[in-house]
Amino acid sequence: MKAENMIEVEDLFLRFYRDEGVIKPLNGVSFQIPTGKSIGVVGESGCGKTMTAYSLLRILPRGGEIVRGALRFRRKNGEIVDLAQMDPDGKTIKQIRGGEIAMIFQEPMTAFSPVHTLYNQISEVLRIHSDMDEHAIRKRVVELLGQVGIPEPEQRADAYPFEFSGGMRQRAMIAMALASNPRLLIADEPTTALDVTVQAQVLRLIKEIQGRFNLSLMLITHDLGVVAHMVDYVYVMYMGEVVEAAPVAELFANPQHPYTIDLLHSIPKMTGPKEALAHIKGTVPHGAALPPGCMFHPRCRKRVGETCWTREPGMTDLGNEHYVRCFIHSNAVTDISREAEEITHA
Amino acid sequence: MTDETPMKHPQDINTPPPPDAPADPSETADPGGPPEENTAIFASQWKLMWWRFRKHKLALFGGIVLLIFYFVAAFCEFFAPYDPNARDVTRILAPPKTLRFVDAEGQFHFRPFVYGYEMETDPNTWQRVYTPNHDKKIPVQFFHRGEPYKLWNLIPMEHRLFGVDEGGVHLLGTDQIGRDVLSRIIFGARISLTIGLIGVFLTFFIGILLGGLAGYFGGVTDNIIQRAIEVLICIPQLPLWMALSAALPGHWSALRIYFGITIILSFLGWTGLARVVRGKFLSLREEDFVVAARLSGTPETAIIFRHMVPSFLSHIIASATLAVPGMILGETALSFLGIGLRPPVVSWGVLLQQAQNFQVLAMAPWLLYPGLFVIIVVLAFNVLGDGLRDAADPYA
Amino acid sequence: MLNYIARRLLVMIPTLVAISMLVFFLIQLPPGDAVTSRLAELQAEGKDVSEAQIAALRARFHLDDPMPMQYLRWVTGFLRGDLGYSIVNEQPVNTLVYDRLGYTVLIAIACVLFTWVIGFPIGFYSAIRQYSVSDYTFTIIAFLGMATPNFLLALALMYLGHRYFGITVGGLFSPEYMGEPFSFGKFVDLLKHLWIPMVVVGMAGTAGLVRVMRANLLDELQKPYVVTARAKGVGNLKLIFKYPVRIAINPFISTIGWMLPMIFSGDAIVGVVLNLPTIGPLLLEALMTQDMFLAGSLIMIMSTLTVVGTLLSDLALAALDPRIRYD
Repeated sequence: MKAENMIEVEDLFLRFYRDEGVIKPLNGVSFQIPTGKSIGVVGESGCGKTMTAYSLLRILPRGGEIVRGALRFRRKNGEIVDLAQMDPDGKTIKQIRGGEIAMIFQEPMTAFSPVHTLYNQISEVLRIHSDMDEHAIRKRVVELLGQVGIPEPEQRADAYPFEFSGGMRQRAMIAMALASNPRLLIADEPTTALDVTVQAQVLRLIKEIQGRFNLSLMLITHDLGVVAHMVDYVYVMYMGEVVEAAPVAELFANPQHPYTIDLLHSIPKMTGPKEALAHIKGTVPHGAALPPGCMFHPRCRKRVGETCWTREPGMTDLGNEHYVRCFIHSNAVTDISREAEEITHA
Repeated sequence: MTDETPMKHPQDINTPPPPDAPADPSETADPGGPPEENTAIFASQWKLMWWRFRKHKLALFGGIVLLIFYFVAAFCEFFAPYDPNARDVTRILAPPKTLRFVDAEGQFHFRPFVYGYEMETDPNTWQRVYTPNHDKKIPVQFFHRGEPYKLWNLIPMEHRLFGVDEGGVHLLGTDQIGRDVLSRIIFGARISLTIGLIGVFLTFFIGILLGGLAGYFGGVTDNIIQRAIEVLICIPQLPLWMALSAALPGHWSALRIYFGITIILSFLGWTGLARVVRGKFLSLREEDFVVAARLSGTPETAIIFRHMVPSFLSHIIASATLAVPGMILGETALSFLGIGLRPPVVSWGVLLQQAQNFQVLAMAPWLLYPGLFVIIVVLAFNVLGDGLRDAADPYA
Repeated sequence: MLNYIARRLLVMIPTLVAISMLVFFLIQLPPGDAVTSRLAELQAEGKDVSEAQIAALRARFHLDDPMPMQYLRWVTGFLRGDLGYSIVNEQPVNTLVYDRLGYTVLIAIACVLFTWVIGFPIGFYSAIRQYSVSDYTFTIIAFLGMATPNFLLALALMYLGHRYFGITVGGLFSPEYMGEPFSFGKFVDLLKHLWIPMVVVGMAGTAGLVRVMRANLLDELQKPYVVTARAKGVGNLKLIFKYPVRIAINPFISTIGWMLPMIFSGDAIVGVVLNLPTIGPLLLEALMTQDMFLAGSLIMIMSTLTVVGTLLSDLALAALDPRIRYD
């Protein structure tokens, strides 16, 4: 594991064994997050972003299994562990969950229990991950709520989630995530459910906090516009694969994968002449029936020929830390085919 | 609602699929994939519901059981071996006979038979004691020609599904005055099963009407209906049923009593449904597709019947199925107590009334058989309704 | 909260008035009245009743007064705690009720405890072990329990008890303890008899509760807040108990609504079948003999208890779920 990295994900394959068949949400995802840096994970809904996050915390829904790959994580004490090998109900992963890796969820309305006060829910993190006494916990929760910009934190702590606005609830969620000084913060579409006016404030808060506490940040979003201001490096995901990875400026200046290009075209421009907003034809296929070859080929505008639907493209290094998975650039194929038998060890 | 957002499938939107594209290997390599995956694209709401329902094997089984029961009930004159009121004074409280293929000597007979009975009277207790007579084999004949009867009181017929020439084939025994229990159960099915259906139909008529009015108009209408429901549900159900059925005039004909009881049962059942419908109307009123229809000038009645009702109809059908058992149990309970249907009408509840006397029951436990049929039917309705509900609303 | 309670209490008054009118109307529905029934009874005994006696009876119970007068007399009596007079039994309703209330409450509380103690763990277990063998087994049993009319279960148990154990099931005491003063032996005898009505009456309720508990818990377990809690590192058992169970338990609280009237009356049909000294059978008898004061008063008490029970369960729900409280 590289010294500067907080987490390294390598060839992650995730399968759901359901009555109606095997669903294949992740098909060889690899990425890394350096300490104190931020990455963005971008893609349409259903391309496996959230499942990647759930895999890191090992909180996959029933039937979800990591069938291959490594999730190397550097713990607070410097120890390097493979999260993929852990017992999802074990002691270590419970210490890491919420203690070292914290997560912010998309729907601040439903992500809080409706029948417990904020104080109850935030203090729970400290009760699990620290040995503070009641007095210290109270002080800490109020301090956290203040840090995320909730006015009158001393009184508001005892309120119920439904008494807050969407933006305030998301701030409280951030406070809860920060409670135990995690090293890695996963934010899963943190602003999607919020009003446009509040989105910018919440993003600014996340950015500021990431800098202040030197956190590694994994920002999951379908919105490239959000990524542009927030992260250092971007991974574009499609159907459980990283199809392009590049530093944020490079990606915007020089996108290479047809999917990335389509995604960029679908962001409305604030300046320049008016033009019709592009969209990507079709939708993400169902995870039970993966297209053969390059998974994007059915929707791709730049297919080069038969290779596209017969062979699975590999990652090509374009230099400048820019990687792309497309036959336009090279004929490289993956070293681990997603159909390989050995991954379905069950 | 599903019409607004038809499911798209990548392959179909895809402009020219590579002409020489190979057969999709991922799909062939993936036999566990949902088979409807490709056909789901253009499926209507009802088709989708049927597909989901099909997966509930238990519910499917319940549905089939019910179909058989209703079929038998519809042609009960043919299926019952005896007339329900035919009395055989030589066989009073005779125990059930077992349908046999193998006789006492171990010989197999292709035609099933039953043994005859010898009846004695216990000199001490004066009870009748029946012992099977292994020498007297009575072959059971299918499409047996017996007493002439009229199917549905219209079509003269002579054949019954099965019967015997002499000696009696009482598979579930006989009652206190020598009537065949099985035949009475089969005839009782006609009453007990239809009372549930008609009752639910009435319930739903009232429930949807009042619930719809309350939900659609809101305001004062809503308030009045809501209060009425509250008052009704506070009065315990059984006494209310009882008081109402006690009020049915004793001189009424069997048919009028039957409809009277049905109306009483539905009179109390509508409240739950009305609440559901009201809730649906309230939330649907604000839905985009309803607002859109209204803005585009669609008449109110069309909005209600073309847009709103279909969107929760499947839900309602499921609730209807789950409401039938309550009706059947209600009829059974009332008739059991002697204030519902009365003899000579034959219903399962009326039949069970005979088992109320413990002395009789101790001698003739087979008089409880109608109860077994009540349980089977109620069970079948419950699993069917459960399956329908899941199919109608997979996210609920 | 106080505001909420006050509002609910105010709403209760018109509801109760409407119920009382409806009940009064109901008990007037059947043809004839209690005096006619009593008359038929006396005549059946071979007694001769003169016109004057009939008139005296009618006058005594004000049966010839206009309906609104009769209603008012009944309702005001009710408010004073006078439940009226049972013409058929020739006793005040208060006495009749008082005689039977003790055992009714005893049996009912046993039933409620049975329902909760059995229903909660099974529903809980079924939900967290969804689709396991035990889940299927419990599901089948629950379906069976809901499909069996409880009087049928009572009859079946009576038959089985008689056939295989040679005991007479029914009543609350063996013949030798009837009319005896209360002793330890009698208490043991009571327990021996008590379990049957407890199981019979509790069966359907338990089965229903198992289904509801399972469905609600499964529903709650899928909610995003459960994922949030898991992501915080909360342990599995605590995760289920602190969050979803807290909300899935609501149906148990809602049972208070029907519990109170049941505690008062017991299950009427089972009461008849098992020959229990509870108020339920008394009500059936009253309805059949058109003993209107008795029937009306009993129904009125049960309805009032339903209203109060619903209020109590709503208050309990509000106490548990802040969303209702602040509404």
